[in-house]
Amino acid sequence: MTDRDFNIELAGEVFNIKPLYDCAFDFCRDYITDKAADEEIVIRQEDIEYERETGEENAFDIPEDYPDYYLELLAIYRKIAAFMPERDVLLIHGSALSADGNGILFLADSGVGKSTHAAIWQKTFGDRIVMINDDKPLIKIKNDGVFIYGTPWSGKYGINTNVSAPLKVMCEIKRSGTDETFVEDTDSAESWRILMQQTFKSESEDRMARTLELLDKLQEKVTVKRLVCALNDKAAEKAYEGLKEFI
Amino acid sequence: MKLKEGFCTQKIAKGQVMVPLGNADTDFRGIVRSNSTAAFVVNCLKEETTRDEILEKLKNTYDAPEDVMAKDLDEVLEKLKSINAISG
Repeated sequence: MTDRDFNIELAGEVFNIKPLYDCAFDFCRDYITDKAADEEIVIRQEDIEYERETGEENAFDIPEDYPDYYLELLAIYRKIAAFMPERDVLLIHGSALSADGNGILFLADSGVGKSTHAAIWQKTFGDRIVMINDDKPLIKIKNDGVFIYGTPWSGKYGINTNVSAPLKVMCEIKRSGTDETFVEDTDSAESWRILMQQTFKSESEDRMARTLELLDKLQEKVTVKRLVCALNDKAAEKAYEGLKEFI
Repeated sequence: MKLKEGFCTQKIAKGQVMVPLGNADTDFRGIVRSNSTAAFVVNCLKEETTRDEILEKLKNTYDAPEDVMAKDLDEVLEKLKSINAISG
């Protein structure tokens, strides 16, 4: 035990975090729990150096001059994510919200407009929307359904809520380049491509195999659509119209 | 020939998928989806083997004309070579 350690609960899983910097506690504040932890996440200086060196090649895109206390946060989530596949949980890059309690996940590479689109939903539908996580939510595949969870790791604006919602639909976001917003179907090959591009990939073969197994189950239970959208005020209403059979 | 180290395969509801791990010696970063025949070929390649040995195993497993199986096999091998997944 160190004097800095604390427990957090993410997607129903409890981790004991042993960080090097105080910042981690504040960052995780909304997710702190008294429950007993199943796994320890111990951060060493070498984990921070790993984030600095590999930042551009992996899911966490970071400039070289970020401070250690920030890189530590990435190291913590990387270690947590590694444990998750064996607990039926996937870490995915996307913006997740709930609309009237129904989880929706927007998927796209950085810069396409996931967060912008999610913000239009919030502006359009107000209190009916809860922003779950704007960047790296967790998805748990249970026997009774698929659920999406908030986490503190939620992108540059830190938009997250410690809630979960049944995940009803996943949408790849494409910009329409016009004023039109509409929803399209995806086939199985596209669905795999979209999810693989945005899913955290383990270095370990066993964990990667489990990740692929979970992605297969996920696609069996939750549809992947393509949302071709304009970044205008009407985009959320039009998107809702196209997705309402799921929500 | 053999499937290179660092490729992870997993059976799924409709066939099999394969992805490179971070340490795989390839620039390919996508996913290979295989039907049952392609998955059979990939699984044969987990041990050192030859095209003719794989074809023989296919003949012993599937009930299809040899020329069709040979064509399918060559297509799968070509695809795997194109993503640098086979050594030897």
